[in-house]
Amino acid sequence: MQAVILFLVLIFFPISGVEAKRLKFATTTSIANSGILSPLLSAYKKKQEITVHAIITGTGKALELGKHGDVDLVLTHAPKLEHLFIKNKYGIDKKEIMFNYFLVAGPPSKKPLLKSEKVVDILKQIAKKKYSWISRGDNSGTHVKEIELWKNAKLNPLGKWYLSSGLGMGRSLIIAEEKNAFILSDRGTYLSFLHRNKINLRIVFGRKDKNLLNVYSVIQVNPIKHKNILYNEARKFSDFLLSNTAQCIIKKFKIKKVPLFYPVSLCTNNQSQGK
Amino acid sequence: MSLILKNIKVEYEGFNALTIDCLEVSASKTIWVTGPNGSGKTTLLKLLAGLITPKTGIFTYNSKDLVTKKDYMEYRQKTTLLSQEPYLFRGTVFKNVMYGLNKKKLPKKELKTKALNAMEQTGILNLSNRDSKHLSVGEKKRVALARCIAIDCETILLDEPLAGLDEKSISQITNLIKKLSQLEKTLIISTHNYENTKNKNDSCIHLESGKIENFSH
Amino acid sequence: MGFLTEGFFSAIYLIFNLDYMVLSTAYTTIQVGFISTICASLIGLPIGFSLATFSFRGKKILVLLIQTLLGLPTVVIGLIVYGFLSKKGPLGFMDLLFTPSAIVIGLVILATPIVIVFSYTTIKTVDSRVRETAFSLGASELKAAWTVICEIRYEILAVILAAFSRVSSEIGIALMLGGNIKGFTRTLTTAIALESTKGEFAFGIALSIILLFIILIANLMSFVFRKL
Repeated sequence: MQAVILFLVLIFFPISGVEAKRLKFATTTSIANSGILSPLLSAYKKKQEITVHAIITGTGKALELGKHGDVDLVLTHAPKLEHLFIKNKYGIDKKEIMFNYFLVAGPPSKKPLLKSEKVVDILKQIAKKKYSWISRGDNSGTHVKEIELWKNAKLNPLGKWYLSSGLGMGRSLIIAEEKNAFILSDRGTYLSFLHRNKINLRIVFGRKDKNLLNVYSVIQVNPIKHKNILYNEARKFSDFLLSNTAQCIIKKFKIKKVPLFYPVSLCTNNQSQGK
Repeated sequence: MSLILKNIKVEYEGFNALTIDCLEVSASKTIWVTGPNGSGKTTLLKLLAGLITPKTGIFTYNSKDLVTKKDYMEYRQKTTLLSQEPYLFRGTVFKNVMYGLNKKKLPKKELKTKALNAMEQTGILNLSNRDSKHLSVGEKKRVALARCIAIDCETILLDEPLAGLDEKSISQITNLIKKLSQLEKTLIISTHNYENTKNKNDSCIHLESGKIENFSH
Repeated sequence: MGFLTEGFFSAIYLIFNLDYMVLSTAYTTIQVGFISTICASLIGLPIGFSLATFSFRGKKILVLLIQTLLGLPTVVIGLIVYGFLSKKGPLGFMDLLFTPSAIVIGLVILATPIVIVFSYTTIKTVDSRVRETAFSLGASELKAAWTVICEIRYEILAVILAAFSRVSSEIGIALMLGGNIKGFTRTLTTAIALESTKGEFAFGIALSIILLFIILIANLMSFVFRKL
C-alpha cells in the first residue's frame, strides 16, 4: 500500500507544480543534431538561472511557433524565410551567430566527376550524366539553397534520376547512401553522420564557395505582437550567443578534429579555461 | 403492510407481458402464483419486488403511490426476490450473504451474526469460504436464499424456488418456506407444484397469458 | 538484422547503467501515460456505463459520435489542442504548451473515447442479472453501478490497460504539444523519432525495447491484482 502511495506522489508531484519561468526557443533538427546546442546551453546555465528549453522541429514550424508567440526566440538558417519573418514584424533584432558552407556529397564508388572551382559545374555534370540526386523537397533552408543552385546552373532538374525525399537532412543522407546518389547537405549533419559511420558518402564539392554559404541566425520574437514574451531574457540569451564565450565554443566545436561551424566574431582566448 | 396494483400494464419491447385490473396483497400472507410457462409469473414477481416499473397504472404501497425512482428504491428496501436462476456475485459464499447487510447501520459483529444465522437456516454453513462460481445448482439456490433471508425483509418473493433441485434440497427448502411463513413474513411464491405445501389460509393467483384468471383467498 | 541486435544489447547496457537521459524519457512516458489513463478512465467509465445501462434521447447519436472520435488521427488531436493552447489561442494565457500537462490534455482526448467504447461493450455483455440482483437486495443506484463494475473488474482493468498501452505508444500528440524538450517533455516515442532522424537506429531500437518493457510490466501488474 505504501508503495502505491509513493508511486502516486512521484508521478503527480512534478506535474502539479507551478511552472517556473523558462525561456523557450525553437530551432531546427539539423542544428540540434549537430550537437552544438549542448555545450552552448551548459555554458549559459552557468551564467543564468533561468531554464532554457529548446524545441526542435523543422524550419517552417520553428518560424510558425515564433509567429504565434509560442516561443521567445528562433534559431534557424533560412535567410529568405527569416527575411519574410522580420518583414511581417513577427521577429526583431536578428543576429547572425555562426555560419558554414553547404557541401555536395556523393557515393565513393561513382566515377569521379571532373573537379571544378564552381559548384554549378558539378551540378551540370550530374544532370548531364543523370546520376541519382536526392533533394530535400521540403522547403527547408537546404532545399531553398539547392533550388537556387540549379537556377544558377540554368538547369531544371527533372527525371527519374532526381528524387525528392520530403524528409529531414539525416534521413535524406541515408537515402543517398542507399541509392548511391548525390546530395546537397549542411556540413554539420554530413560530418556527424560520417563520424558515426552512418554513411560512406564522400565530399564531392566542399569549397568555401559563397554560393554555398549557410548562415545561422537568432531572431527574437516581437514582444509587441504577443504578451508574455520573455523579451529581456531572450535578449540576454541572444547576446550570449554573440559573446566571446559562445563564439569560442562554436569555434572549438569539432567532430574528429574537423570544425563544423565558423563563429561570426573572433574568439579571444584571454579566459582561464582548462580546455 | 398493504400493496395495491391498479390498471397495471407491463410491456416488454412493445408486447404486453402483464395486465392487472386490480390486485390487493395484504400482510403476513403466503400467496402462491401459478400458471403455464410464459404466463407472466416472473413479470408479476419482479413488479411486486419493485424491479420493473409498469407502463401504465398505479402501484400503491401502504397508501403511498410509487412514482419516482426514489420511491421505488425505498420500497425495494422492504422486499427481496429470489430469482429462478439466481446470480451469485464474485467472491465467497459468505461475501454473497453479507451483500445486502453491508449498508445497515449496525455493528459489524451483529451483521456477521445475521449472515451466519441465515446460512444456518439454509444449511450452507459448511460452504462459507467456498468460491461462489464453483457450486452446484442446489447450493447456489440456497446461497441466494440465505442472501435474501439475511436482510430480513417483510416481503420475500420466490420465483420457482424448487425448480432444478434434488429431493433432499426440495424438502429442505420446503421446510424453510414453512418456517418463514410462521415468522409472519409476506411470502409470494411462484411455482408449478404446491399441492403439498399449501395451507388453508394461503392465497393463490392463477395467471394465463399475462392476465389474472383466478385469485382465491 | 545488424542494428536490431545492436539495439537489444544497447538496451540492456542503458538500463543497467541507469543512463540519465534514458531514465528521464522513461519517467516522462510513464508519468504522462499514467496520469492521462487515470483521467480518461475517470471520465470515460461513467459515460460508458451510462450508455450501456440507461436509455435517453439522442443516445444513438452520441454513440455514433464517440465511435467516430475513436478514429481521429493523433496529429489531428494534436493540431486542435495546439490551436487552443497556443499563445494565439483562447487558452494561451495558461502557458501550458510544451509542458507535460499539454501532452496529458491531448492524450486524455485520445484515450477517453477508447475507454468509453470498450467499457460500453464490456458492460453491455455483463449479465443483466447483476444489476437486478443488486436492486433486489436493496442496493441504491450508485451501489448497483459499483457492483456491476466490481463484477467485471478484470475486464475493466483490461480496458484501462488498453488505454495505457495506446497512450504510451503515441507520438504525434507528444511531439506537437510537448515539443520534445530534453529532460522535460521528451518521451520514449519522441526520443525514438529524434534518434532516427540522427540515423541512430540502434539507440532507437533500445528505447523501443524499454517502451515495450514498460507496457509489459503494466500488463503483468494486472496479473498481480488478480491474485490479491
